[in-house]
Amino acid sequence: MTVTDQSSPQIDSHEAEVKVHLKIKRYNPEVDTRPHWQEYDIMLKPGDRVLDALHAVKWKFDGTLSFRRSCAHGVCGSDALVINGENKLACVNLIRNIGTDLTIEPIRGLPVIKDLIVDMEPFFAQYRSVLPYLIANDDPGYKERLQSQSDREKYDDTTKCILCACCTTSCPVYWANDEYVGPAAIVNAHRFIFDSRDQATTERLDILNQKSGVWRCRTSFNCTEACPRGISVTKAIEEVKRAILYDRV
Amino acid sequence: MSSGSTMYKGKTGQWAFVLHRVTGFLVLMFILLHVIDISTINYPSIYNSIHRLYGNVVLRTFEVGLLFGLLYHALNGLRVIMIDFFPGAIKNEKRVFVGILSLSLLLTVVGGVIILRPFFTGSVG
Repeated sequence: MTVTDQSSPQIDSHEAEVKVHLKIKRYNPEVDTRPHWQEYDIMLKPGDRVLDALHAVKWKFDGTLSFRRSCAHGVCGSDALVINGENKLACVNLIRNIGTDLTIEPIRGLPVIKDLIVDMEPFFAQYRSVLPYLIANDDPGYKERLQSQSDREKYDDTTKCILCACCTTSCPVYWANDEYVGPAAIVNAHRFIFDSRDQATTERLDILNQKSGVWRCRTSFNCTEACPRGISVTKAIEEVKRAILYDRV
Repeated sequence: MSSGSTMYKGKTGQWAFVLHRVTGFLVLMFILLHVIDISTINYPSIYNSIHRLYGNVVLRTFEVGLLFGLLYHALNGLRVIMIDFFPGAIKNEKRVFVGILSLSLLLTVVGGVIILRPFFTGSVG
């Protein structure tokens, strides 16, 4: 079904509006036996985001469309979606860059709850499994835990993760094997494994040395391509592999 | 309205991975076929007729495909090892992929000329 927006262009707009064709994968577990595609034509400015397109559909045509978003500025990582075949955040990608023909699906490898909303719990369980917090049992007393700039540099890239799941759900191995801990969990383990203040490196390397750990990575680089924060995910995974292999960080 | 999924648009790394799996499967199938045809060695008439079959143009063309499968799978295996051990290979992963794919195709063309030459020179009985 195609629904068309007949509203006139906004008066305050300096950019001319363009017609945007949206094809969204819908699924309502109370009604549908399987997902189906629904199409909409709406008017948007080229500087609008994909998230604005979803808002336009939800607010003007169909309030039943379900999707997650929170900060809407690329920080919270709530609105990861498959947009035109690639994992992206809807809130940081403009119509100007993505194009006026949009195909939007929920991220893959996680159970769909409704429309574009997936159950993130398996993803967060895998994240928790790598002990993603500082473990330092010694008492520093009234001093700070000091760290040199070069030691801080070792894990700088992996501190940028916002847990949007773009990397994990772009991984072909993860699609086929939900036991695999996934790129995001490894990135967050890397952040503490290479932190000179942390004292649980051995524990984390043991966790990632299991059959559901880093050795499932087949270096397809989809994670690196998908990361909206520009983290070199494959590089981080390879660093963890070598830390296990050589028994040193 | 269909319910089908779209293809994930991964870049070279995804296709390197997919091609590695496909060529690995095809090479395994050929090895199984090879085990079967070699196992007929004690029955000369069957063995000879199977191996005469391998000489026809269709199966020789199949052998050219097999050569590409073997070359790609072996060279991409080396690429994966490079990615595992040398951070520089990760930075240049796309170029390394293009390099091994080009080398696989080049060697397939060279091998293909040798395998199919009898059909061009008319020396096939």
